[in-house]
Amino acid sequence: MNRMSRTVRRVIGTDSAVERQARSARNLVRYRLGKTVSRTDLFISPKGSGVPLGILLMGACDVAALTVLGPRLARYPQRPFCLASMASAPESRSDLFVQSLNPPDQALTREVTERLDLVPGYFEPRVLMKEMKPPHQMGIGPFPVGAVVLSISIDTSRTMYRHRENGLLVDPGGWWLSGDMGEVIADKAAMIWFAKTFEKIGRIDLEDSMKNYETIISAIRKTSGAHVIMMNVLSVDPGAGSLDYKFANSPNKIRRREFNIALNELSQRLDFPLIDVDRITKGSGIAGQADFVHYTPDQKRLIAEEFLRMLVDAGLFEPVRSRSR
Amino acid sequence: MGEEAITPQDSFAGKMKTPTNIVLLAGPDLVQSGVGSRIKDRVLAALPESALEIVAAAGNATTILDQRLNPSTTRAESGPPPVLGEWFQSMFESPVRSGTAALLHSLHYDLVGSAVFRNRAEGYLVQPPDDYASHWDSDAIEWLDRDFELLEQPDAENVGMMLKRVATTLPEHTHLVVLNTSTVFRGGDKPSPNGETMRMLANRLALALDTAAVDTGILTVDVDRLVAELGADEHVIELGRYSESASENIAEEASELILDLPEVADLIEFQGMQLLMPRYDRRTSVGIIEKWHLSPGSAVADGDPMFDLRFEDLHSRLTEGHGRKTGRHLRLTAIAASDGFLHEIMVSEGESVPVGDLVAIMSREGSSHPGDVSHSRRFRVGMRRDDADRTSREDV
Repeated sequence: MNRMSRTVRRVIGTDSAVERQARSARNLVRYRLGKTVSRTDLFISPKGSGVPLGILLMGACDVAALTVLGPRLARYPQRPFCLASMASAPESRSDLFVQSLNPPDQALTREVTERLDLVPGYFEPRVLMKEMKPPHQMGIGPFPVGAVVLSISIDTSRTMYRHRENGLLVDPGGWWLSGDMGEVIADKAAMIWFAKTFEKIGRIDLEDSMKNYETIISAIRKTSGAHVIMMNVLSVDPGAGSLDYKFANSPNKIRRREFNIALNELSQRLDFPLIDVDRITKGSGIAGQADFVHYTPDQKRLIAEEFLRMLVDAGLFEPVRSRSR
Repeated sequence: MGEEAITPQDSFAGKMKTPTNIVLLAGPDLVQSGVGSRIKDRVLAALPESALEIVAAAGNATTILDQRLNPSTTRAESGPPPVLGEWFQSMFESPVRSGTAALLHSLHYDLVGSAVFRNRAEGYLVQPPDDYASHWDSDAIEWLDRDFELLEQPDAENVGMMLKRVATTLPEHTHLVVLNTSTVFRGGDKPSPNGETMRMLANRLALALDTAAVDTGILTVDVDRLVAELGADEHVIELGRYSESASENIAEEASELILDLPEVADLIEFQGMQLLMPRYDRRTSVGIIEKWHLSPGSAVADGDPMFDLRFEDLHSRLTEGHGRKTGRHLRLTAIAASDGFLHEIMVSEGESVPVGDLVAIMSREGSSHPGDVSHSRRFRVGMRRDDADRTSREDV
């Protein structure tokens, strides 16, 4: 992972001019957080006098996109809140989250972290974070975590690697859909070491994925008591043509639909709200999408509205009455 | 919309050269939005000296289609009132005729739960017309009430099994083409017979179809995706009824599938065929031929590898406007989807060519010169990833 990708983006919702800038996405304020936080998309609103609320977004671009809700949420002036994306695609597969619940010994992880240039905290249980601490210079917070958002998009798509001896799982990174490791790990010596030390275990089984999420949700509820909200994924491929299946071993849209159906069953069994991204994106039109998981600004807005409704339903925000004319 | 609406029992043909035909099991989703008539118009227009007949028959639930092709039950000797004789007979007759190249079926009835009845004594099934309650006389309705019970709607898994059985029962040269349904529609949150939402049932049916397609080679028209491209909220008027533009897109995809069938394409008098650089998805724009598996004069059979290709610098809208490319690449093998001969290679190994451009000329006969192919049909190919993790299209 290169230095640039470690650069963190920060959008502060304390000033309407900054909000407008953030919405137009032309002038994001960039700064480095050093080694305390890996990568963060932040939206912080200090308004209100209620108990501060932390909303933890743990996933790829589809989850991080929920930060667009920040300016909208800032209209609910009941409590200060922090909306933060605290993971990226290579850190967000469910088996990595489960591995982090009982963090591996640092003796095992130190060499892997250094050789593969993993982000700090890669093996730590960030999904169980109890409170968010913004940089002290901002003078606000901490924000107790009241909601955690997860998505199955990574489980439908990314490949994982396992240490041949100690079983440590790692996804070295790269473009959001798993990449050629020869390109991801630029250093030749590190690549040779990686190939000798790790084996590719491919994509996760549906059953294992659902078991993992059950474990993760249970751990979150037990540890931080936060509400868990999950996102499904668009099942079809934008722009795909008719497919003659005799040439396709396992079309990915089948896999994504299987995961969506299983996730729907899990949400009913474990009683957590599910943002039906599949319905929202299909309903609004997918022609403008780059792929099945990167949404257009309009779609992000619709998804965020659904997310907001769930936050209100969960009692984390009170509905704002529209002004009478 | 086509000039002429297609309805069950309609038949359209030009100058018949052979008995080749397409059978449209025209359920409401094919009739109401004019999808069926559009398919008819497009297919016949592509075959000016039409050698093809398009036959519209009443649409069926998959349970009935399965019975029609796999009649395992015996019929009661005491049939229905004479006025229902033709309809009753159709519940047991295969819709496939001599020369049927494709049978078009849709999952509409499996989703909406059309009334299918089971004979109490013999177990066979019947599906009355949707408006039977207002059109059948009292004798007919009494016969139905007395001898039949309403069949519980089959779950998606059973529909998938029946589709597989249907596909494997069809004659070798008859292809099953199945349209799924949009999974987003008004009333999608209402409960289905199994207690889940209608939307979830639509998803399960689409999954069952896709899975059956992988196993049996069913050709699917992905209505769910086609409508979603435009926006289902606006383009699904009601369940099974789509907007003009959505109907047009559905018909276009269905008719392309039909025209690509070897049994249909062979109706056009031609010798040459164009082998074009295939498109994988919207990220792919220019392909590089890495290796030819054939040389001029080689015969190629359905399923044979033809050439290896590579797409570099996959286009990404994410980086559009930033002067950046993803730097990612994709290696594939083009596989023949029918038989033929390689006549001439137009693009050598190592050369790059835009998607849709000519890479080789194919011919039907090995010895004859195919002549001008500028207006001839394309030779159909599929693509397969041949790297370690071939199950993952996105794993690139």
